[in-house]
Amino acid sequence: MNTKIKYFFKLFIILFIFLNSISNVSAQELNISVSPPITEILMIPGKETVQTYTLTNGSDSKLISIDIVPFLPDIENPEEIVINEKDGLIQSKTYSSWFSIEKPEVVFGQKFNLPSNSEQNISVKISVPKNAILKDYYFTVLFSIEKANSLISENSLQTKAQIGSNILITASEKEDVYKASSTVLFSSPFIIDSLQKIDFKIILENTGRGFGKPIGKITIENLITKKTEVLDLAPLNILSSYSREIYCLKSEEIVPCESSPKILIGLYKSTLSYNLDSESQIHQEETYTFAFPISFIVAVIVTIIIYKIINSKIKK
Amino acid sequence: MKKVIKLLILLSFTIFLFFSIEKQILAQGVIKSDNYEIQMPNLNSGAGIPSSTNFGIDSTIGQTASGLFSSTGYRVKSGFQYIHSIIPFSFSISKLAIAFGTLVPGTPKTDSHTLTVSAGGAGGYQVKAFENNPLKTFNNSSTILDTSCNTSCDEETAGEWTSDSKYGFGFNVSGDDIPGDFTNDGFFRQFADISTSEIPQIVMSSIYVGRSREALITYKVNVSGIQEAGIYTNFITYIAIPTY
Repeated sequence: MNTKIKYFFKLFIILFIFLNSISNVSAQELNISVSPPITEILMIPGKETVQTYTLTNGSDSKLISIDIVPFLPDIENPEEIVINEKDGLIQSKTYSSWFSIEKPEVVFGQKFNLPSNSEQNISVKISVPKNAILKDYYFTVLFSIEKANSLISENSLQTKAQIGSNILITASEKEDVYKASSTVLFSSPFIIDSLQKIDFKIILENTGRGFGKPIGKITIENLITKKTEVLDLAPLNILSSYSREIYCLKSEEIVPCESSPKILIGLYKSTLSYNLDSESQIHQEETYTFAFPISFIVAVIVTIIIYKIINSKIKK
Repeated sequence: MKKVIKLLILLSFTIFLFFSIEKQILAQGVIKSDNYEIQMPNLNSGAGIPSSTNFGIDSTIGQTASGLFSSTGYRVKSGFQYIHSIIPFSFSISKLAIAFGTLVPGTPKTDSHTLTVSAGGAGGYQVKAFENNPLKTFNNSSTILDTSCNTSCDEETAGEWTSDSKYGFGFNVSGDDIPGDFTNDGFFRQFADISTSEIPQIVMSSIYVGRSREALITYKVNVSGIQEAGIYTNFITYIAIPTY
């Protein structure tokens, strides 16, 4: 009997290890990552710098090619990046003198092999020409990845992947680029239930000459108890002459701007204060929210009604 | 008097319930960062700490030290300023070849794969898709047109495609961060056809932290009895870009 128990115990352990190892197997045919995801450059025209990207291939060997494409935010939805690959260095010559690949020894659009489960450092030289207009330039470095060999013998389709990393360049003769901003929208609901959170919508516009990040906070103050809560704004880039919805930052993560979950009762004054990078002016906006225990009152009313119904039935 | 006591008891009970709900909400309010995979490929120099009159934030890694701009003529910052480490932006596709096998008129064929995006703690991302052209034979002599769904759909708007007498090629997406018009797995769109200058369209996007976000792309093809025999194929490209 003891031997049987030992046998089943061993079998159980083997099965456990086997099933555990199955869940760890990666079934990805393409698994690629790029670092850094964003590069911000302030540069005097005529100067140059080299940016190194690390491309990590976590799958079998792939063919890689590199292109750099100007991007602009979508007008209706500035979060969305719009690129037109026909404007890229391969297709167009507009920015061809601005970029070159230092390592590996390839040119833009040329395919090279990225071995399986390997890392490749790619160094891109960025040089803003002397005659460049002093303004912002936005690009996406696109790494195109495809299978080394793909034979087609049936009705099928092949998928390719492109992974991007953004470059924001401000061409400027001096370090202190003119920064200015304005508040397009700072709003919160006028009345909420006491169990709800106060959620804010913030849209800021960059009216300065270079891209910048709003640095600031929202202070929520109960006008009766004088207790306050502070929400930090996420320092998201707002491109020059564009507006963008701004969210909050909590533990290094972007989260919606909303008060922490607790019972809110009374009148709350929320103050948004921020400036854009080194902007001298500090912007302040206020909004008011009245928190009323609507659900509590409803619960009490329902309770009374139920009580009365039960009471009247008992009396009968 | 008894009634008043009963009412007070009920009221207390209601208040108790009210506060119980509140406690449950509080217990869900904690958001923490998971463990990051940290890579720092571009340690150009020591990081500075940008600040303004009233506020200060931590900085990222880059060539930011004071005075360097005037001597070198440039200042470079890599990664997102609100994250202390540079986290790679990752994109994976579960399989690259989508096979439909032999096409039988009026019998839709489907195949699917999974897209996964991981932006670490580095905010939002978008994945766009386009096709080089509709499904075509090798010699371009015959084409399976992009679907128009049961009634209508295009590269920007999904439509229901459940009828086996409606022919063409399209895709459905389900999972994380997908466009809202893919109401269920019966809704399909065309791919943006870059050969006719259509603009690549978003299939996944988020403004918040993207960590192992997954979407299942299902491709569907259905041909009529008059479709010319042959091997039909095309290329679908997915572009994954982190936020700026």
